[in-house]
Amino acid sequence: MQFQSTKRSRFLRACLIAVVAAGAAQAQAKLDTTTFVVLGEGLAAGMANYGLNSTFQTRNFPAVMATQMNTAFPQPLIQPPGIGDVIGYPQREVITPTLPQGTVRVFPEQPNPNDNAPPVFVLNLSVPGHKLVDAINLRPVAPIVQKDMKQTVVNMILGFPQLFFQRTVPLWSQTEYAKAMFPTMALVELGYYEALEAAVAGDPTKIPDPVAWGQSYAQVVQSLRQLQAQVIVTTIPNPIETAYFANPRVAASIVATAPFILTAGYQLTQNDYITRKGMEVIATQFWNRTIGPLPAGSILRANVAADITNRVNALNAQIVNAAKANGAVVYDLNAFLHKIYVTGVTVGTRSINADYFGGFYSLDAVYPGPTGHALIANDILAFLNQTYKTSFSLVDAKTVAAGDPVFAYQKPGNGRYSGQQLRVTDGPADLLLEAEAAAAQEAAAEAAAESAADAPVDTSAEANLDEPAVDAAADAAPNPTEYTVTDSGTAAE
Amino acid sequence: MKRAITTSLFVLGLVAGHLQAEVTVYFPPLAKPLKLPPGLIETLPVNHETSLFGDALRAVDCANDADLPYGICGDQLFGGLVMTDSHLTGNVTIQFYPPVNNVSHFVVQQHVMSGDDGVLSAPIGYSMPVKGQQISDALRLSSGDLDLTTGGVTNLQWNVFFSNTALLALANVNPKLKAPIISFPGVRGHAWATFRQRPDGLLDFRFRGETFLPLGKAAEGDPVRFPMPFCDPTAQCASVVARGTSLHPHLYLDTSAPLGTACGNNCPDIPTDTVQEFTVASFFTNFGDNFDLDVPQLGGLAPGRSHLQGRLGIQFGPREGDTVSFTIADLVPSALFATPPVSSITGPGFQPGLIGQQEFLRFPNATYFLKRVAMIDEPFGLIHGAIDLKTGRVIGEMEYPLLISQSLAEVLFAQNAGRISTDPFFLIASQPQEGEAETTYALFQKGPGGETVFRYSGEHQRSFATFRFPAPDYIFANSFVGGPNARLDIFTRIQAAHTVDNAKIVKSGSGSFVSSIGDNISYSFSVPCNQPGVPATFTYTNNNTGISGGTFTLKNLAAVSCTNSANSSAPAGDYDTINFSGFGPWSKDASDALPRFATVSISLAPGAPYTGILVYQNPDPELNVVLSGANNKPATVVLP
Repeated sequence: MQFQSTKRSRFLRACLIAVVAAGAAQAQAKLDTTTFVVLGEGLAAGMANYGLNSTFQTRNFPAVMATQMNTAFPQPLIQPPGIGDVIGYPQREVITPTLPQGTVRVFPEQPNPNDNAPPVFVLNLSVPGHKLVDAINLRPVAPIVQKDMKQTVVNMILGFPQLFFQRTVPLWSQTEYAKAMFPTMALVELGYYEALEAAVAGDPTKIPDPVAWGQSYAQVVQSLRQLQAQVIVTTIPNPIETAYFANPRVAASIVATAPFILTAGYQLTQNDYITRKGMEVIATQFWNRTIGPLPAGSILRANVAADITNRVNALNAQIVNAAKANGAVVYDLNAFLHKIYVTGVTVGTRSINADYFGGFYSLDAVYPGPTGHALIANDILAFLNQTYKTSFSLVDAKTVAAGDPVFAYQKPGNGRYSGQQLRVTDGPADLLLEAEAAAAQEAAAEAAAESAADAPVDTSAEANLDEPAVDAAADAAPNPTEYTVTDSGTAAE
Repeated sequence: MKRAITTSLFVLGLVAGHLQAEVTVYFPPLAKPLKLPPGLIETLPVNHETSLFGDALRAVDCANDADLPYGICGDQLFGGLVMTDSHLTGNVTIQFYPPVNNVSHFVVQQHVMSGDDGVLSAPIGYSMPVKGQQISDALRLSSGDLDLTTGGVTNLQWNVFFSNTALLALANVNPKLKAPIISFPGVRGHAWATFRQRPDGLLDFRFRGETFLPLGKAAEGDPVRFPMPFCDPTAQCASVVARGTSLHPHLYLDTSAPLGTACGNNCPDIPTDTVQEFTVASFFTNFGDNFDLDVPQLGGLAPGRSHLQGRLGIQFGPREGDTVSFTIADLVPSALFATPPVSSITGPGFQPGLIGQQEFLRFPNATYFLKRVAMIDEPFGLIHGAIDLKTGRVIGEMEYPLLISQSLAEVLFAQNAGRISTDPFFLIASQPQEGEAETTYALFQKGPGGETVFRYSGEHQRSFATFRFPAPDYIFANSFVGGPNARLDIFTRIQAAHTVDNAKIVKSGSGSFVSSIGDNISYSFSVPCNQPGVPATFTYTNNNTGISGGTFTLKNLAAVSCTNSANSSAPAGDYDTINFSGFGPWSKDASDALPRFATVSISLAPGAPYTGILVYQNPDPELNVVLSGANNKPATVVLP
């Protein structure tokens, strides 16, 4: 696709090279992990399975990093079932506490077992649903529990202990809180929610203006750098490459049919995407042996996806610029997740990928499970080792996977809905049969051609509609960010 | 699956043990005894609108063995229960035996009933069509004993097979689990049935059963899995690990038509696949027991009642026909960041819900002080009903399984040494007999401000003959034994509202009263509704000379809920009920002490004045978590 060689991509690559060079210069400075503070949104917070709770928070990538770096990392652990809304799903009422919660915020064990006092401060300040503007401006405000889920989550994470016990400590926004902790090392994972919101809404204009956004981002980085903290900023993952969006090939494996059934039945191109919501509706229609209209939010057209990708890359360019201008280093999270999307990775004997039920993303399809977080943590640790000449050991992803329910997801059985089994409710009766015949004809022609040429199997999407190759996914959702995944982590070039 | 259930019987002790006495439940007498049908047999079609079967699955993945095998962790997979229902079409055949002492044993055949297509759905990320719905007789027929003088049924045992594509999908992803016969009451459930005379000489029959089927951690070594709504044509579905998942199947059969009048344009707004928070109106919300123990030393009756604070988490399931199923979780007051009352009766998985005021229980010759008062919620047995959307009424006679926690009950259980089951009391909203006023009911209605109001009034009477009742000193040797006419008359009344507007208004007021336990109380408040950041004030002074005396001053507001009672006369944009909670200092504490937490319920309704205040502490040596409490309890029970 055209994005791979755009000016913007070349610019971004140049920026990344420059920033890594700057990072190399920073490597002269020692990385002090004493006070490791994280600013972010749901990804760094550890959202999974439709909420934020301690079951997954304790295994988020910052926590894994902290463990491997042997530094304390108190988190605002929330008792299951958790709090917070997930983009792309119905908003929930704030019901706090709900069963079986007690204190909602987990009171960790204290040295004195009779001391019920919770930790006064936390260092993972990530708040699900946080945008950059929220990180700068949104402060806790009483009452602690409100009808507004977003404010309640802010209160529960950033408002403790101020909203609970006393007002001698100011009510801080995420950025203010981070600065007040005087971090020696800060990781900034912001911008993903802006991208997710735009992608789920199918509205690229929801992504903020990159220049203004970049200026604000630079202020955050600058304010942390002024405290002499080593600052690691992460690029924004492309939401189109999460499990929430599936091209027809991947979606077909989820809803148990052939890709041409989806493209013909729902008037899609190979480069369009079906959302998690759309796949569920389609699965429901298939139960009823029908193909019918899909509700809004079910399909993301290729051109819209491309626009979103471009705009995310524009924000990432701003992140790179901000880092460069302020002496921060850039970890290319987007590139790492792109690798997961394109090729997957092998953990133990199993390959996991970014498909729904692929083992990387949790049920919400936009936030990873524990194995995914462990892989991200390892890649960042490797990046730190390379950048700062540290020697943090990596976590054993295989061990993490053994206890990870997300890793154990299973796709549906091998049966497939055929054109004969499905009825199009608002289109020509023979639409699917014609498509099926055409697909069979095409496949036969391809097979004949292959046989004649005595060539290896052609795995292009056009050649095999049932099982197009992984490359088709890469073609369909290009990412202009150049990346290299090595043993020492994902960085530019 | 059978094995898992057997294990659950043993481990959790959820079933009445052999030491436990048989419970004699009382039904109100009918004006005229029932007449059995000619030939002692009848076959009647079930009413499609009021007959349904379904499930509310608690899909969880509990990673810690401590939460298994019953799945008491909070790791729900889809934002709530996964619910389904299907309305039934078919007949029941009931064979009666000749009555003995006005009691007729009967057996029931439900044959094969077919159900409407439905959907299995949850609040987030789950919706799966359900087809092939049917129920059928098990090899062991269902049976019970009908008291012709009351229409009530005792010794009811109901056995049934459920089948549909959702159960097939569940079985497919757990091939080592075996489909069970579903029995009501089963492990921790209930079965309830009544008969009413029909003009044609037959008997209308109404049945409801609910039970608990835990799937456990694994089936023969394979972790329990839950099917996702992505399946191939043979119902082989995608799946996720779901250790500790449990089923809560239910069956409602009714040969009579639904009650209630159409609500027309004033029907409540009932959502689907959503959990909503309903705040209780404490004036109308209480539970208690009118003790009639037939113990001469006590001197007579003792009406016991405690008014409650808190919330109901009501999950509305999918719509099926003209009904929407729902479940209720009893919840502590909003933002209760304090230790709620602890019960020694219950075990893991049981949690306090609505919190009650400390009260005196006064017999003519003895007085008890009741502490640690709360309704208890549990993940095993659910509070379940189905709303008739045409009327707002809950179909049938809604059960409200009620677990009561309070200090006297704990001693009572202990002194009866296991004779009393720790199963909940199954309160019933019985439908009135012809010509009688309706005092028990269950319904949803649209409130004056457009809010949805839930109203429940239920009762349960049982014999207490031969059981021990503690003496005021709680010494076993001094305990009393219930006489032959001893009975418990347990009730709960609940009114709770879910507001829909966000009117910005400040509610304020002040008052003084002598509390129900004799303390002189004064208070004042000014609390903003729906206005984050606006300061609130509240002071409460209790002039008791003991530990409960002192002054609480609110400093940090934790939660506010402004609602209207069912018959509120508040103008638009105003409310007549306010509940709030927050932190603040207690006057007797050291200046550097951690603040106390308080929950407050105030009704400003002209006809329902009420103030209830609870100030909390860490559990004291008697595990009491209430430092100071007060309410101006209404003199008599008011229907909600």
